[in-house]
Amino acid sequence: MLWLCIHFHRLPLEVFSPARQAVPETALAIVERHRICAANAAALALGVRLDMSASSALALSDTLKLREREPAHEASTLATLADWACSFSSQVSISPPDRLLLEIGASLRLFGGVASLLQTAEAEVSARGHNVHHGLGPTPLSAELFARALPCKPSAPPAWAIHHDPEAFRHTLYALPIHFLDTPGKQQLAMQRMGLGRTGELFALPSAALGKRFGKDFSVYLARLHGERPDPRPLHRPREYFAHRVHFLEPIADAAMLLFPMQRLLGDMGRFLDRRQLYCQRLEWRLGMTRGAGQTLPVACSLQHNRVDALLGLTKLALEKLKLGGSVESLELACAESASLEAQAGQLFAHAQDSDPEAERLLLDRLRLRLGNERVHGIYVRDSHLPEQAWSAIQEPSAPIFGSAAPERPCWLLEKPVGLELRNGHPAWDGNLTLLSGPERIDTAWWATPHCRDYFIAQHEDGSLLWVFRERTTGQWFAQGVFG
Amino acid sequence: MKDASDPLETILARPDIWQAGRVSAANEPGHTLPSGYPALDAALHQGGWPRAALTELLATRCGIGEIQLLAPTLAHISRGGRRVFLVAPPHIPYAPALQALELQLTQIVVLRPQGRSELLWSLEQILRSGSCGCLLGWLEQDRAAADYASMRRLQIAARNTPGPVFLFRSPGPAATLSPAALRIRLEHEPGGLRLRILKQRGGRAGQEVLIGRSSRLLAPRVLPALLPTCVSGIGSEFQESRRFSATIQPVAPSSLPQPSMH
Repeated sequence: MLWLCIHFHRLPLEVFSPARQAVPETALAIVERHRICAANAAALALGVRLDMSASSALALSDTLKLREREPAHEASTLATLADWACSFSSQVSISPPDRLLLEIGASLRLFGGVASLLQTAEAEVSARGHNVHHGLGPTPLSAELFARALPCKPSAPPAWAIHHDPEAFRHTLYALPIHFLDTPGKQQLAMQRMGLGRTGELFALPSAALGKRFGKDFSVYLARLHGERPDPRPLHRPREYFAHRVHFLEPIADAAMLLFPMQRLLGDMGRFLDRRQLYCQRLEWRLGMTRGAGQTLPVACSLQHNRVDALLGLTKLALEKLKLGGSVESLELACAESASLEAQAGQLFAHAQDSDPEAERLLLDRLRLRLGNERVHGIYVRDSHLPEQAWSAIQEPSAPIFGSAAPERPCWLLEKPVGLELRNGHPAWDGNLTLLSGPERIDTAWWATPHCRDYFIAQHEDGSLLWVFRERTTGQWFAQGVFG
Repeated sequence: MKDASDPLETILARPDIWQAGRVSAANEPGHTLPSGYPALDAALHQGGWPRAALTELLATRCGIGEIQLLAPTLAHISRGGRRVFLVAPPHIPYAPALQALELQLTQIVVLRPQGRSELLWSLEQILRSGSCGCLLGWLEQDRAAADYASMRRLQIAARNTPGPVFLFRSPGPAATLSPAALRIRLEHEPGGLRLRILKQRGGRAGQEVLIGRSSRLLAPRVLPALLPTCVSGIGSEFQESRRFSATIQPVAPSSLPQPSMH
């Protein structure tokens, strides 16, 4: 067993500036319980010191930025890093607040030794904008201890780790000063008063006596540090999302030929999601082209289960609208959004007239894909006196808040009011109009574009009823609606 | 009561004997939907709008009361939690008016397909899905859309639909054949809407029904003196405004003519 501890010692700072900072760096310090707990180089140059109170740090300079520490953000960053670390080891565990533990003994052959593994890890972690300390040890606790006390350079890992020499390890461990041990300050003080300076002197004492003096936990800690007691760690489970890619030996120029690999990928995704009790809400096809930028084909799906045929049908519709800009070299399917499956009991005697929500969702998905989102919509009542603003098109139907207490309104609203001509002083629109009732005066929007209109219900000579108005400022007549 | 020993009943029970009055299962009472107008229900031999079949409404133009005719049906269906699809409507379906007609707005889906193929595709998809409470489609904008073959296709697709399907067409093709189960010609008549049943499957056609328009719309409520027909010139503006203030509503000072307007 060889444990690698990756210590993200600047994590509280790095969650605020994940990418590499541009020069000059702004002075940033992190505050926890009104005390500075971390500061970057620029802040240290201003004279900020750890454990300084926040107010005295602010007094040093007005360019200093203080941020409250965000443990939740740190934890999620660490979990993301743990996902990344799974590419180095099958045994990854998170040691809060800022350390990852990897058992790399089993991965050494794959990476070609300790040094090259550490260099790869270092390169990747710094590309993500993190500064780390590495520590190697045969037990998790010793790796953590070395990361704290003797961080090793990836280019020069300790000789004992390369040559698997337990004797040399013990020698290094015993030479460490006692204050690096992960024990409370009170115990540290007591050990110093006993005249102990190095870890080796501590291990020379009988463990029963140490346990009596410093408590059972301390002797367990020492035994685990040394590897005499097992130290089980909870394993990190990588987060679950689906993204699979296939490469074609021969580039595909015909979109229809993509359907077969698509079906296979959808089947894979269905199995993946089914195992995790998830269903796909939006999937994304990424087409890698032989030339030029790749194309992305998003498919939204509101079905609540992973039915390959339904997903394939939606994909087909999306493909019909897609213009292939060249030959497709690779195809990737990513489940962009998923939600957890809620098991629903099917109906044994489904009545033919009962509406099937699944079929309805699939229908709306298909219509939206083919016609476009803006051509499939619901309608909604808005609170406005101006008739053209009293409705709106919405994507997701929701119940209107406003009731309609309005007088007679036409079922059909014209896209834009149509100007009417005046014939012998009467408004006319491809035929004479007779005013039946009105006027209803709407005088609104004086704060923006004022509208002062007198609305009438008019009958066309062919019998249809129109909603016309006269703009009072200009005296012009318009038709705005039709009473269906 | 059927008597198994009756020779006529035995013959009629044979599957290869077809009775003109018994078109299909669609003749049963559960397969129609009351229209909300007793006179119309009486004229329709099934007692209401046919479900799972096309109903053609041939109208010269919109605005003669066609939505008022369907409003009770649409309100009933949408309140029952079923979708109402409006495909290629001639104008914007105006939400406040539909709400006043007691339609459940959350159940209304408006589709604006472009061109003939999208229109027919959308209609067919909706009908085939079987999840449509009611479909209103306007075919008149694209004459070519309504040829016999495509109507036949829609009629077959409509067999899966639990609700009624209304297709608006211009009265031009009234003389032509149509596979629709029910064809009604809508005509304006002073004071209402005249329905002439051109065809009903399994029943007699030729009935005429008059449906009055909402009295709130037709009742003349304009005082002749108020009609701004005399407003040919700007000079009468002032007089007219004063009359408004005297008879109908108190007019805010801001709506009185300002010198700057003239």
